[in-house]
Formats: sequence, structure tokens, C-alpha cells
Amino acid sequence: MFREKVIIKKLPVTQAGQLINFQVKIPRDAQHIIGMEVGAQYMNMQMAQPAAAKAAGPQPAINYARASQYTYLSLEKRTSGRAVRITPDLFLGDVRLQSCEDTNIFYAEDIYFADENIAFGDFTARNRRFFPTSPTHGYKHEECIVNTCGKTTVLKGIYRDRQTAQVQDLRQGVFFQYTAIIYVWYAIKTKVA
Amino acid sequence: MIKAVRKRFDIEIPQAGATVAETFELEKSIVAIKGLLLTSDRDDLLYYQGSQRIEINKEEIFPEGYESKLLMSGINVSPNHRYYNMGEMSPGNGQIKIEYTDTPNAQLALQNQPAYRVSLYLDCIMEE
Repeated sequence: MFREKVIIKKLPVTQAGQLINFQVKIPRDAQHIIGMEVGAQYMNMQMAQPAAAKAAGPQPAINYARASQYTYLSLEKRTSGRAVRITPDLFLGDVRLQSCEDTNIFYAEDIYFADENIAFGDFTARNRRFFPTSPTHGYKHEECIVNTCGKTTVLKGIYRDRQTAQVQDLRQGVFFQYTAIIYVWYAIKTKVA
Repeated sequence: MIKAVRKRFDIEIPQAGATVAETFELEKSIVAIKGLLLTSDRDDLLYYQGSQRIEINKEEIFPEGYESKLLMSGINVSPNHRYYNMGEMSPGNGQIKIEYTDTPNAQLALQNQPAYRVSLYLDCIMEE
């Protein structure tokens, strides 16, 4: 009989364009690696000009995030013409994983913070009190199914933050510090009692 | 006679950054757990700030730090597919332990974050 377990690897990202090399240690009793998931949690936000940001305090950055098209839009911006407007998702970075076994590089994924276009094409989304957002209208998360041998001692990984270009162009120097989270699902064989 | 039932267990998160641990018990007539789901009266807080450890019959199902957003389903999902599929897991001693952690999110940056409720739903099979 097989049982599933998950390993959680957290990668704190504190600088724009940060490159993180990491390893995920696979337990001895793992038979197969069967699934992958990714996620992200915000830690903080910073302005590109740290001296000015420090003098201003955290409120300007918070106000910016609230006013930006990535998070809290005003009701007018959210509801008028929104059904056919595409808003760029907040792309945080991408991850690659490599096994020490034959499968080599077996997983690659992009990490987004949330789906900003969940209301795209929904012409009924006019209720300002219940506008579609990821928490309320999001789709069920399914893991990405992989099938690689669990005998690999470690998984070697690389994560690159990709906010650099966006910081300059779209968000006027606001950079989000966050924790990228990698979930590795594996199956272990158990004895039937 | 076999019946499909859904059980709900609530926990209250009193303030930002709180960790709440509670243990619930299923009835002895429940013979299998088919799925689970997380909801809240503050979906945004659960989505952006929630993580939890869930243990069933002293067996860790989700370790500490597993984000709540991965166990949520919005209203766009058919009610028949909203639950996280657990096969037909035996409840064992019927004890369900959840340790929920609220990690304050700088982007939400709520002043005086209110207390909110997190609900754990279990899709179970009951034998009468």
C-alpha cells in the first residue's frame, strides 16, 4: 500500500533578480516523487530608492499596492469595462528542479501571486460587493503530476526572481519581498497491517 | 446502510499572526474520509495569510506551512469537485487535529485585523 506525503521548501526572496540554489532532501523511504505544487507568501514591499522609502515610511508603498492594478483597484476601475480588459498577473519568478536519477531536470514552473484575470469575460460581474477575486472565485488547485524515482538523495533546484523588469516599468520601483514555497509530493510504501 | 455526510469544524482566529490549534472528533459511525475543504468568512485572509498543519488519526496529512489557498475552491468550481480528494481514508481513532497559522501579509496591511472564522469541511462516509 502506498501513502502520500509532502515536503515543503521555503525560499525567502529579499532582492530583485535574486537567484537561489537550493536542495530538497528526499527521505529514505520515498518510492516515487508523484506531484509538485508551488506558491508564494508576501513578506514585505520595498521601494527602489531605499533612502526615500525609509524617510516616507511604509505607508506610501502600502497605498501604492492598494491603488495598483495588481491588487485593490477602486470600484470604478474594477467594474467598468473590466470584463474585456486583461491585467498582467504578478509574475514573481520561475523554478527548475533536477533529480540525481535518470529523469534529470523533470520540473519547471512559473510562480504567480494570484490570478488577476479571473473575471475576464464574465459580463455578469457587476456586483461591486462581490467582484470576482482569487479567494472567492478561484479554481481548485491540483498538483502537477510528475513521476520520477524517489531513490534520488536530493532534488537540486534553482529559483530566480523575475521582478526586475516589472519593477522598473510597471510598478514605479516597488519590489515585493516574499517567500516562494515549493511542495514536493512523494509516495512511500507501507506494510498492510 | 451507507450514507455520505459532510462534517464542519470551525476555529476562530482572534488576531493577526495568531496560531490556533484544535482537535475535533468524528462519530464512530464514520468509516471513511473522502475529501476535505477549507473555507472562511474572510476568504481573502484565508487565501493570502493562511497555512495549517492537519493531522488525522495521529497521521500528518499536511505539514506545518501548507498554504490554505491550496485547499480552497471558489464558486467557479462545481460543488461535486470542490473537496481535496483523499481517496477513502480510514479515520482510525476519529481525531482530527488542525494547527492554523495566520501570517500577516504586508500587501493587505490591515489596520486592526478583525477576528475571523476558518471552517474545515470533511466529506465522509457513514455506516448506520
